[in-house]
Amino acid sequence: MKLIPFRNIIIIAVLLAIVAAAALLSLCLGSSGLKLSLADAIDKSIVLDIRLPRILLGFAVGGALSVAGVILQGLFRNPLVEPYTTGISGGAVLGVAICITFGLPLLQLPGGFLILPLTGFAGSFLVILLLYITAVRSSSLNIQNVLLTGVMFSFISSSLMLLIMALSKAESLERIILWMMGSLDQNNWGLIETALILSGLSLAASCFFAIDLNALSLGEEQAAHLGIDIERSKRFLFIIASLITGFCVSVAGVIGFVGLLIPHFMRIIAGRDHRILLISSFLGGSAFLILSDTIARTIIAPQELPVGVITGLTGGILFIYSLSARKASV
Amino acid sequence: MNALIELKDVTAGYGKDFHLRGINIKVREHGITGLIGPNGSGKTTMLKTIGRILKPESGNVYLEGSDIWKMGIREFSKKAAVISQYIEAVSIPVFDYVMMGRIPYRREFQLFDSAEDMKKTEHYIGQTGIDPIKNKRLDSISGGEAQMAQFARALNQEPVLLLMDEPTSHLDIKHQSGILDLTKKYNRETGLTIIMAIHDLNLAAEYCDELILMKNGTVRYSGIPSEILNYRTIEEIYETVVIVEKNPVSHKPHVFLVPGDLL
Repeated sequence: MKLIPFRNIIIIAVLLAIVAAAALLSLCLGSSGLKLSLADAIDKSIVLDIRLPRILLGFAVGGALSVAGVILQGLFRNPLVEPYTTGISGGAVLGVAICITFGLPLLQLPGGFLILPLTGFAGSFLVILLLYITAVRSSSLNIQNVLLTGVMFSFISSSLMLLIMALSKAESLERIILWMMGSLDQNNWGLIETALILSGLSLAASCFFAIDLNALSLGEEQAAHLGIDIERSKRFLFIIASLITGFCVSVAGVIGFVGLLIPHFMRIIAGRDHRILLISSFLGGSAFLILSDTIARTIIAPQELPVGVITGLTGGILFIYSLSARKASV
Repeated sequence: MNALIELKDVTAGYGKDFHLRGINIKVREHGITGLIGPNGSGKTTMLKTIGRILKPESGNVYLEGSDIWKMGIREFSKKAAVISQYIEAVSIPVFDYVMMGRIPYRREFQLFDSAEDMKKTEHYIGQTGIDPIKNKRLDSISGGEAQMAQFARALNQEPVLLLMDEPTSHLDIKHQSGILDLTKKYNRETGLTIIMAIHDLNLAAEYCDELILMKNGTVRYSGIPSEILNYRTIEEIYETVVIVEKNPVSHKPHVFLVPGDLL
């Protein structure tokens, strides 16, 4: 990165424009075709109460999940690690499901809307911790182990999910299933505001560790030789990543592969310097999720697809491609 | 001569398995000191102990008289830089890699590179002759070029001590002499103290002012190359029959292997 990163300013400007365009398109496009009017009360309500919240949530969640992906890929030094593929989302969803099934009355309390995010965070943090301990035990963060362990965690948490669902009443069952599929249909403005603030904060916080992530790309020992307190940096980054994932899952459910797909392309476009990679991934993820959600709610209108299906399909295909072309992508 | 590095009763290793036992050495300032010894003798462990990667189980390591584990990691990395056997082939430009040598000098939360960061980075890229490849990526350059990039990055840390772990082990002779000549030039011109683990006894003899000969995690001999490198010592430590002659040009000891079928 040069002293005046002119190229980076252009990248950020272009990405901002794309996000704005995606938001505008999503605001106009609906099951009733392409139009934007605030003339009568119904139109106004559709745009401001239905479409706008989804766009804002898509912006926050898409950006935050991409940042979580970049952080995890930096920590594990592998481009295939992201909240979904390592079972971290699974952990979060399990936390959320336990909360829905057994703690539903708590959610009615004032400020109760924060309980779900907190349980989501607890679930994702637990998985990250277990993942890291097992990875460290098997020495030197061997990536095959991390991915395999992550898949195992996914299986374990989905088995536990089935157990919980078997024990649940019909009412909570429906909510859980909705969560598992991932949706931006959220009308709690408190949660949307929290999502926006938290994703912005997580981007800012992770940018403070951009240099550390750059150094870590050379390996932990090399980073230590450059004066990075790696234990401290890793601790903070793990907390940021699990906080983000836990929160995103608790508001929007499991939206897979955003954290894989976006950083992958951003590394090609913007390079591997985390000072530009983090922010460009955030913006790219926002635009991607807003567009995916627009497709999800219009493609078979008046019915609606879960947005997780769209991101899962596009991301899954890239994941397979990336695995087979591993040499080129690492 | 002052000791830049001093190890007092150091025992260190991984887990319960100790690779270094009861090490007491002083490494003099402004010299090139070579760590030699057979595989598994503890050369790399010694470098990791001096390089503040491995914390001694007991005993202390002092740099300029202060305990390295009592100074912060940042402060330590301004004083000591490390060149390892090879670097991870990350797809980042050589320039950005060399710039990383400035990390210890960054202010807290400094996101952009300062004018001084740029100037110093350009300077050391010029000094090590890697200007032509500075925009290439680390994963697309040769092993020799990567070692030069490491050298530039290490100099960019502006250290008083440079630790080198087998810096030439997989290079051809042109690049071996290239990196070692540069090391020697820097040592002579700036007084940079160098400690290198090196396998090749002849390169050690040519380039090092002092040698530390290790075996089984202990220091067996230390002194100037012409004292250390004689056939008796080498046969004792390496259990290999050799003949030691003098390099006709440099008059430094040169070790010749005697093949088993000629004994």
